[in-house]
Amino acid sequence: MNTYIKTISLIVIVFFTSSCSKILDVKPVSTITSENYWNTENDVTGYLTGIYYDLRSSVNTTFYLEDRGDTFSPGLESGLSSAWQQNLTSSNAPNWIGYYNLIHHCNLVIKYGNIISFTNGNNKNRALAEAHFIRAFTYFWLLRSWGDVPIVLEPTESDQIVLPSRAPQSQVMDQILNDVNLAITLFPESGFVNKSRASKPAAYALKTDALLWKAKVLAGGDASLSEALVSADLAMAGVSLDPNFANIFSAKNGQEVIFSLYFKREEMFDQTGKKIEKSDQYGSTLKPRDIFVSDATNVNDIAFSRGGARSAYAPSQKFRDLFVNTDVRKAASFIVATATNGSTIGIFDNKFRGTVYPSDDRYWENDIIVYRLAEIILFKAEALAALNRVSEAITELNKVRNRAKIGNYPGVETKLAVETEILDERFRELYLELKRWPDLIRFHKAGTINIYNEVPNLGAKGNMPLFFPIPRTQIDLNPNLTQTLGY
Amino acid sequence: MNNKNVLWLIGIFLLFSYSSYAQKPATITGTVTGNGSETLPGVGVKLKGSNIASTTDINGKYAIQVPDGKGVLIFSYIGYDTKEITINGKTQWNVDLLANVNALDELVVIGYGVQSRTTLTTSISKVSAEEFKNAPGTNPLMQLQGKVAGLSLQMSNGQPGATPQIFIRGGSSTSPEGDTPLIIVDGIVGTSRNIVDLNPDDIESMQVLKDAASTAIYGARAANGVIIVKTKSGKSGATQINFKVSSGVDVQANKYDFASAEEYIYTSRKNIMNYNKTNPDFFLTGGRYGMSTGNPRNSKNTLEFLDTYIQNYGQEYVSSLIANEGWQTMTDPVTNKKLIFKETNYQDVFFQNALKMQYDFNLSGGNDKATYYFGAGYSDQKGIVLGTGYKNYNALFNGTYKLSEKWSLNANVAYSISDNDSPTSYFNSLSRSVLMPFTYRLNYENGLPAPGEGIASFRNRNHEVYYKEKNNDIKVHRVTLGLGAKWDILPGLSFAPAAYLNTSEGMENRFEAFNEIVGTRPVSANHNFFKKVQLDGVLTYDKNLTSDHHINAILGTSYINDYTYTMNGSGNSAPTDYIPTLNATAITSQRISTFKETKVIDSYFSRFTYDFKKKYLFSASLRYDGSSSFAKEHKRGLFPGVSAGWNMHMEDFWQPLQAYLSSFKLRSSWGKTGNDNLTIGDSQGAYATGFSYMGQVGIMNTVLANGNLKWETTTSFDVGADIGLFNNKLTLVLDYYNKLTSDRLFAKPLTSTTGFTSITSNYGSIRNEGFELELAFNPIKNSNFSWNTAFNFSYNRGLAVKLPENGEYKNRSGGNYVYDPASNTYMKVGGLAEGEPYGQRWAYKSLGVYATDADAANAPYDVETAGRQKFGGDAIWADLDNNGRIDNNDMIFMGLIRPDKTGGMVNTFNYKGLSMRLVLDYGIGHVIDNNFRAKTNGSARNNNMMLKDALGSNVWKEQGDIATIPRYTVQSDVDYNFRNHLRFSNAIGNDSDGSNNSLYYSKGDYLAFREVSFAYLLKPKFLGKTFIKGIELTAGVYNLGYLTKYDGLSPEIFTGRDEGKYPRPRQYSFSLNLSL
Repeated sequence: MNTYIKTISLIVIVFFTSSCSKILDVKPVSTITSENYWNTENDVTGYLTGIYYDLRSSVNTTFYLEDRGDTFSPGLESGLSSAWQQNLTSSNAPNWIGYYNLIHHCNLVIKYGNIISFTNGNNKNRALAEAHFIRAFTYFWLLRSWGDVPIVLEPTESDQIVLPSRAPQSQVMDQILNDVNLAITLFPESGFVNKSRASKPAAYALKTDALLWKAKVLAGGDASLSEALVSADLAMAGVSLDPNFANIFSAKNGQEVIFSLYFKREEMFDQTGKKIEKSDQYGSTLKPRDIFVSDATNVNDIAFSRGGARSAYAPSQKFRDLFVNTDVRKAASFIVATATNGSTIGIFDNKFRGTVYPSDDRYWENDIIVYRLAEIILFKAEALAALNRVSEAITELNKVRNRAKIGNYPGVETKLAVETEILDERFRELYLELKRWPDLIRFHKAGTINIYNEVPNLGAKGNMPLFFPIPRTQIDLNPNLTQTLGY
Repeated sequence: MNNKNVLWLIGIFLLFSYSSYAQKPATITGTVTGNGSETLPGVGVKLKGSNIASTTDINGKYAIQVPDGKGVLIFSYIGYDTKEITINGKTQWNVDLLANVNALDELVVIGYGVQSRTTLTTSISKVSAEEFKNAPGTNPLMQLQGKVAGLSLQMSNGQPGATPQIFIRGGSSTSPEGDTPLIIVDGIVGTSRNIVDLNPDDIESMQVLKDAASTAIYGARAANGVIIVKTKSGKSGATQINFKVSSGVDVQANKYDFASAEEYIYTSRKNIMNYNKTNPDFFLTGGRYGMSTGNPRNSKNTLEFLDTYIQNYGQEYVSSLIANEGWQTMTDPVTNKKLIFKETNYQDVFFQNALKMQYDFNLSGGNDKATYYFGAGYSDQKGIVLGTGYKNYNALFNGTYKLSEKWSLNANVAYSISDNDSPTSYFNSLSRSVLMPFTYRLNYENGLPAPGEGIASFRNRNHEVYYKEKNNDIKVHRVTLGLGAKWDILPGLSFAPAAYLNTSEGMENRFEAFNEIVGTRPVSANHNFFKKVQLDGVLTYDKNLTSDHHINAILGTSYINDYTYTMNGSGNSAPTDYIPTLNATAITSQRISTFKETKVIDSYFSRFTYDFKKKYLFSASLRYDGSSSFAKEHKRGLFPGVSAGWNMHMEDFWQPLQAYLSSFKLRSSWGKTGNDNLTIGDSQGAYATGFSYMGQVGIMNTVLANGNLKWETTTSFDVGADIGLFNNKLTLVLDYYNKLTSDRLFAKPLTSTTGFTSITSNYGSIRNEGFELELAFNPIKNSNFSWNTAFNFSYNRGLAVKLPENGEYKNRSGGNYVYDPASNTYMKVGGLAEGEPYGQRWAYKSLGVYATDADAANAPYDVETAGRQKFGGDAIWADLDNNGRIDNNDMIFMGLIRPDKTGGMVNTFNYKGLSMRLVLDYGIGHVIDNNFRAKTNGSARNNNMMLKDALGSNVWKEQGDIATIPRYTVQSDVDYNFRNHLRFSNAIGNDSDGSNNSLYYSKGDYLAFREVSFAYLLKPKFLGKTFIKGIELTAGVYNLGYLTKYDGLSPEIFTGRDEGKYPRPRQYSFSLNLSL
């Protein structure tokens, strides 16, 4: 009997007590968890690459900064957004989550980047500068779209969530300028390492942009304008106007570009099915599918594709009428597809023409140009005009006009006339570069124009607010949030 | 006990035997048959009250020595009623046994053991080999449909071999994927991966464990129920050989009622002319759409003016097209000119009649020392969708070997290769290829496939198969090795260790040859390797303490290590079509990625079962589980189960009732189970790679860590009764259950400023409550004819019980506001809220169609159409709040997406050697959005084929028409802001791609005719003295059709939306089974 008791005891010991709690501590191999990240400088730089990926996706839309303006009329296919229709309500309001996701990522880099040591201090400073720049850029995007927005400066790292309320616009502006100034201080070099990433000149460009907004929308006054002038000059370092206008968009990071976001056709999909680079730049929403233009007389001049193009919008009549025929920007900005009988098939964007891959298709891989010299020159002109330094403003304006081959400004030298001309010039020069809607707000707030007379759908609605609403369901999730005024 | 004791015992035994050997012996012989037909080998023959026993041989013959030539012989055989014969001096007794359909004393497999239903106290349903042996398809899980109360099965497509989604008692979550029960095949604990390629012919039984007391022994992953599958094993006796050939054909059971090409051209062109005031030429000319002219000879579309064709290509060519190629002409309603076109019915191109061949072979037998079963099968089944199919080669060996009195070994080896050709994307294939306007060209003049519309995802199936899918090579190799031992340590006490290795290796290579749509020759290759190592050890003690007290106790441990390794590669721009693999692709285009993951589960379990005279029954179990997926402090969980039963019919006081209620057992159970459906990232946060910028790989935080995550726990209570009436001719199994799933693992919504939509949390609780009935009735049973019927019904209601406090009424999460006319307020609905069921659907209420432009002039502002001016032929939407504005506040409740009442019925009729089966099942209580019809009637994308609907009188055609369906034209479409058919709003948590239009919603209630089949067993007499022992012929039709009011192809849609699914085919099947 004893033998059996011993045997059973042995079985019990071997099978039932052999394991220890370590058996369940499985180290993840192909996945990274929060516990095993943020140790080395590579963790910071690798993460920053991810942030650029996210930034590119987040800004690759015309929804916020173009649709509400007067750039677009309906194209050949459906897809008119609620923003274009000026049909925004609390139930179809866009969610800002993508931008706060980007901010969360920046917050992580800023939090951990500061405590991780780098072998080269410049690299650490540059990484932190880029994170501060992108955070500022994102808050500026939020500010221009929604006005008052919550300020979140800590990453989300547990399910214990604070419920922020919307900070006043001036406070958001202060945060933006803080981040930009910090970025300017931190960038170790004054020029570019890579124009597809943020740099000191890019930070100055953003600062100029923000200061003009502060001056005109947030009653920043002449002080902000003067500051913007200084900043604009610093942003111009190391770049020059490209004599060939169309080349700015077809080439990558030409002589005029200050900061752009990189696009490239890429077939590869990662584990989760995401394309790992991007080729669907937003310009594809103003491009025809092949069948639409196959019988156009000028089909060979038109940028079309079999897949990936959808002419939801066309450049508006108002925009097209702004050009004189000598303007080199006209043909480089839009193209009219003509049928054999002379009628118009459709009008399409011609700025972002994509790249044809032989025996394949055309891919929409033009970079998004965030800032380029011509805009900084026009910023400077705008600041000068606002300061009533009209003739100096005209000097700047003419730099852009002369490159476009339309000669010097011929109009009267009054503040209002020149400011109106600067707005039109910005339209001609920066069409479809995600500038028009904020431009309209800036010049509207400064009294140059009445935005409700400029944008047809907005005029029809009368009292439509200029900032976006937030989803009512978001207010349910966070009762500290209030709806945008007017919705 | 030592050896001496054993010898002593044996000695006493022998003495006993000798002492009773006093009178004149006799040998009784005879033949045993079953149900008056086939002879039964292996029937136990025993002299009552003695140890004298024998069995029948392969021919059903037996011989037994009876010491004094007197007494009673007992004939017993599994699945048959036991029969007693009083010898009465005769030496020749031929006995016929009747098949036993009494479900109340069958043996059922429970977790780590087997138990008679008589003493079972939990809720377990059993499906036996009968349901698998003539399965028309390949995935054995399909055979569960309608056979188990409380199990609902959903087939999302008709691809042969596809895996259905299974919910047991409503599941425990709100996502179908998360509701998959645990599936255990021959001891290996896993998911449906274990079973998909298993040959149904090799299955002996499946048991479905439904209540927590039965599933608690599987602990952490058992919350959704457990399915235990047992494959066949050999029995002691002569070798049995079966060879079966089956063949069949699958056909598309229901078809969409498309118009002809001529009707399509006429109606769509006429309507464009009538309704399109802006740019009709864009649609009528230029070859852009199916109804456009402007298509030269040999282009993608065929429609053109006849005179253009004659002018450009000559009268002779045109005459030849009409005379020899089936081209047609018609008068254009727009220009009154003659049109020429070629009709191709793309529904007929898409669907095919699919042939099936299947060969099964098995060999089994054994002796005192060893038993074996070997099965091998090959099946080749085409799918009803062009270019699809499924092939499977499989082999299975189950063997046992007795090493000694105390030790025996068992081994299980299985191998299969499956080759699965399925559409790359069901959505693209079905809703786009089937909907191709019939005017598109099928083949170019040189015979090669034309692409149809010709965007990558909008192309003719024929083209897609020819250039792409025929090059796909997708194989899965599965290997199972199981080795177990049983050591009988003491009488009643045994120890069974087992080790299992289960691998599944998917090798996929996809290649698209050069064609006009995709010119880059893309190649992708995947290698998915999955390996499971499982080690079990179970100590069992089974003992009759006295004749009245019986106990069974087990103590066990299990360790499971799941390892996944995947490698994905892609490339393109090969210079040739000759090489479909990655080696030919351009180096610069090649990308490769690998992934590794390990998951460990470590468990201890125990169960104690006791019965007193089989009258009072009790069982308790406990499992202690650990999983590597959880946060550090919450890795382990404890899962108890308790159950008890009372066989009241065994009580003395029951005697007067015995004549009617022959058996009556009350039972009740309670238990806790878990759900660990998580990744390590959910508890520890995930940082993912792959976010490339300028060729550098980026990393981002994609999942928020929640260090507080613990098991989701389902506590379930069950009370039931097993009732037998009229000597158990009619049996009833009744169950009521109440399952409360708490600490649900669920995505808790986060406010957007966190940057995340949700975090996986233990979030609230939901309750599934229901009632089940399984009835088996054997109204007629005699030697020549019998009729068995089994019926089941189940009702399940799932409600959210408790959600975290969020300041909202009912703590609702998600959802949006609708107007409630009763209270004259806006109420928040949808999402998930306390006291409400999940899977709710809401839609705009269609009130018909504006008859005239004047009627439409004062239509309310329609948010979905950006306030577009409405005209005659536009839909009228109910403005419930009368605020002059149609928006999501005006949506009404349509119903729930899953049926709450389901069940089925199996009827079997036997007449001599002929048997017939009739199987039905049903689902009641769900709604379906016929999105396919909405899309088609809305002429979505301007380039879909037209259903006959559009010709009917319900469609608005001209001013003054009173109609229910808005006008059919491009300018009624989802696009261009018309939205008469498809509406956006998903603000209430609806399906964003649904129609959201009450016009296209209908009830999904159905009765399905699942099977009508016949089997005929040729008697041995007929076969004479050939080596063939039996021949069985079967013929059956499966998925015959439905009784339903739903107007789509199939009402078996439990996702709320029918976007045009790959339908389950109607299957005709024949087989010939030879027993040797």
